[in-house]
Amino acid sequence: MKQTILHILNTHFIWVTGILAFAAYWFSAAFYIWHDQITLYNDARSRLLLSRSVIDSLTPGLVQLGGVWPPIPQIFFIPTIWHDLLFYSGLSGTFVSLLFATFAAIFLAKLLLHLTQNKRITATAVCLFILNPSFLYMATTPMSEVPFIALVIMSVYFLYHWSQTKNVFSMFLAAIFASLACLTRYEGYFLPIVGAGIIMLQAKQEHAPFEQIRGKVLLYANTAFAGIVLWLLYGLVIFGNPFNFIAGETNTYSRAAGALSGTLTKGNIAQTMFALMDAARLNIGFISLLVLGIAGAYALIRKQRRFLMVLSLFFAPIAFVLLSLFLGVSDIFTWNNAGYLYNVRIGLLIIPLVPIGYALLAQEKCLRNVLSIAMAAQILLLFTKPPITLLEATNFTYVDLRGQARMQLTNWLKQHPKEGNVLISYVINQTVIFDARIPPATVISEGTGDYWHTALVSPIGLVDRIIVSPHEGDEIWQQIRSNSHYLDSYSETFRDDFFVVYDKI
Amino acid sequence: MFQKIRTKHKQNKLRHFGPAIQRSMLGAGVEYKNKQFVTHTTLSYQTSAVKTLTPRQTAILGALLAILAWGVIENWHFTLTCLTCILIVLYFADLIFSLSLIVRSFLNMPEVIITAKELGNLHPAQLPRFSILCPLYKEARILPQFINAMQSLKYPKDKLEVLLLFEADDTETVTTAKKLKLPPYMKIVIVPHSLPKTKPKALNYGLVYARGEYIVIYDAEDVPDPDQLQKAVAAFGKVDDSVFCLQAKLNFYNPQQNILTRLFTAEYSTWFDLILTGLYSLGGPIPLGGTSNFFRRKDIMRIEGWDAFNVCEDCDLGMRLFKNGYRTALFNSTTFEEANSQLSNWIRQRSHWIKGYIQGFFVHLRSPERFGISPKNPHILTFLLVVGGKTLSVFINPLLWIITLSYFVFRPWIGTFIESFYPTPMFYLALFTLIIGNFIYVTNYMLGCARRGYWHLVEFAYVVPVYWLMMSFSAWKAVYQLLVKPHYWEKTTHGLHLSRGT
Repeated sequence: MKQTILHILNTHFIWVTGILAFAAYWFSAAFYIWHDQITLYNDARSRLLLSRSVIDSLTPGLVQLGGVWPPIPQIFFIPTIWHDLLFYSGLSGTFVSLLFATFAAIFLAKLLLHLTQNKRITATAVCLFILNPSFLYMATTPMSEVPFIALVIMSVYFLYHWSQTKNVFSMFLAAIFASLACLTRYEGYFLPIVGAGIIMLQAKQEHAPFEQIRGKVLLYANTAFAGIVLWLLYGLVIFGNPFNFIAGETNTYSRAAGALSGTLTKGNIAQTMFALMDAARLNIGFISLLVLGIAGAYALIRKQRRFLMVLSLFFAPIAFVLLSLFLGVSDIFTWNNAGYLYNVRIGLLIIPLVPIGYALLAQEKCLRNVLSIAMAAQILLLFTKPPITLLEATNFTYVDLRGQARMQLTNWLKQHPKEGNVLISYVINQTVIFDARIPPATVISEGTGDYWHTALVSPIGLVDRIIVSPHEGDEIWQQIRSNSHYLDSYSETFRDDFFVVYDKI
Repeated sequence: MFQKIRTKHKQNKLRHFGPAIQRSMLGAGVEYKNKQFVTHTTLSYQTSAVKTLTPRQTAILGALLAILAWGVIENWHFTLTCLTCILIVLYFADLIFSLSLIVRSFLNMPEVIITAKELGNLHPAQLPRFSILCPLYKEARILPQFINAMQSLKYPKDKLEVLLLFEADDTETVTTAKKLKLPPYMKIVIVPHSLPKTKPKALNYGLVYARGEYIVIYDAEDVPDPDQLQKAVAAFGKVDDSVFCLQAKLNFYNPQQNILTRLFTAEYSTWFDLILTGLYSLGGPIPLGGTSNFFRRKDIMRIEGWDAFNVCEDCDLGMRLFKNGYRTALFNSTTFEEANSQLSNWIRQRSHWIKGYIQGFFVHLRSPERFGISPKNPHILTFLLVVGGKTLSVFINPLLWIITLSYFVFRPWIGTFIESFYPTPMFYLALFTLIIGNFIYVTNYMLGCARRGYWHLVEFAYVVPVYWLMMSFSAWKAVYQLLVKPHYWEKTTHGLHLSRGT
């Protein structure tokens, strides 16, 4: 029996990895579904709503994917998003994340097996990846981090495969996955650059003529950068501005996050490094971070070229995060630098580096046992507390005052439903639409074009309920303040410090 | 009046006449419109392009056009919307099919691989007799290069027979050949004058005189790999008996001559190294390249040679083989040819090919069920997409480009009008095909170049849309020729690279 199991493990190693990973992620999903925690992130609910709006809104169509986030996760949600149960429970997104997480584990195993030629090291390293509590939670949520990490892993695997076999198709696949990663999160934008650089370096090392180097880089770059070009083209065709994702009217990133950003890390290298390292530590643990640091130094000193290539590719998204923190266009807040959690999940992008770092050091036989014990201890330590990603999501939904107010509002809206169209700023209050179960086809917001612009001038005849946040960020509130007759046909039915509701008389 | 119609009908009726010698095809042909066409094949006119359309096909085509006209008169907007939807679905299907072929060609064993060891195992004494058929018409300029290429073949010369097939009126090439002091295994064969004056007719004639166990066709400008014949013998030994034809890959020896030759090379690399290998792995019908086709003599005789009326006899033969239950395989050897370096010459060549593809399309549409129509064997779709779809698209591309360009340039004025022809799902499908589809087609050219190792040509894939435009122009010329002179063999001038000293 034991022999049979060992034989199966040996001959179908990748399949077994895939099946175990799938089982682990499903188990995790079952746990978080049971506790109703898979849509805790505001962004998770927003993404679900975006996806649903493509098929179910006043102005359905791809334009509803908006210019806020790159579209891949939302596009993948579409096949099941029409179903109310799958939509409101978040399962439409969970299925996608689970699938990507499984692929991430499979391709990571393939990559490690190529790198180490050792199934025992590979198995341990993949376990470090699969059993990370932060990742296990994220693998059940309708967010973009897990699909992004999976796509990066796939891209790195195929580029590594190309570097070893010179198989043109592997290079092409690496470029496709890099492109898809760019269409999943902006952090992917450095991946094609690093990939192209590696191809160029390799070709130079092989003393290839210039024409050949140019051809190889072009073949890769043509596809790898296509994602970025497509996103710009989408902005141009749909919104008339290729940089809509930076300045568009539906861009929460530039407005809401923009209000917060730049306070800590802008122009400050120490704070930038600290924010990222702290977020990484909270996700993967201190021991893992330490092992990773040692592995990086080891790879450099011992000139482990294959590992350096893989590490540099995985580092590309992290370099993007560092740059955006330093430029002040995004922020990571932890208990140590701001007293609360915001964007800590970005630290999870470092997770593929952990198994690679472990695998590199574990090749030294004298280190293998100590390392394995230390990493096992790290995983156990991480399991003693709730995952940081779950804490962050809970913080978003329940802890802050605005979150509590939103819950009150959504409860009130559920108890006082109203027929007809609802005018609400998607940018400010998209989660209210989801939480209060307002049918997307009745929502007039920034993404509904003429409906929105007409309702902003005069809501009468078009709008039956107005939900507004009484602050300058909400365009509807600006209209109410500037136009004294705007609410002539409406009466206030709900008010607290964060929200006001007006119903048509 | 009736008498006149009856007489005309009698004249237009096709009639076979038999070969001069029993159990041979020499002198066989058809009589049509009071003319005798000596094709040197007993191939039935029903499977030939002597008439592009059968009366049944003419009736169906006429009915379809009538329905279209009726639709336009009754409700032009709805009719054009339907037409748009059909085109979008066709383009999308072609895109998915092309993509699947590329993926298959990379993931599967795309060709019969003959290793150096396998070649070494072939004992010269056991090699079979080989006949090379080379139809030459007005090729005096390039003939010395061809003779050299044949002499460079490593095949034992005592087992080789090279038949140089000259047309009776081509005295210049014959004289040049005689001056070259040909070795004994090269023979001059004069094809007597008869209509149609085409390459397949010359091949049929040459087949009568070929004595080899194996037959291969080379064009005048070909330079095959020196060990190609041995590889073909080894490959025939590796494949099963259902493989009737082996196709060597074709590519060019003058890609660097100018931009046209670069694009042509990129196209050939994609076609032979990706598309055809993908088709082979799919087990579908393969349109042969006009040269470097290898057959067992008995097999090519069994399928009655080439259709002398089809100006793309290679594509036709590939389809005919498949319909008769035989297969074509590719093997790892290349014949290098001359890439057309002159635009007018290129257009002549391309319109000739497209005309042949149209002929082949209609000929094989007469019995489409023989391609396979079951869900397990749906190669009718392969035929429709490879021969029909690819040909149709070159006609329609310019129209769609004009519409797309107008949509973006004049969007405020005609944007809504154009959109009205695209129901929402079709709009997205069209958008996907336009952006992703064109991107994939361009990338295919890059992949083709990369697979062939022509990294210096990768960047030229970006100019390919201009090349497609030239193809469209040639396609319309092909239609004109098909209507006016369907069997006319438009001659491609060879040897243009020689004057440049390439």
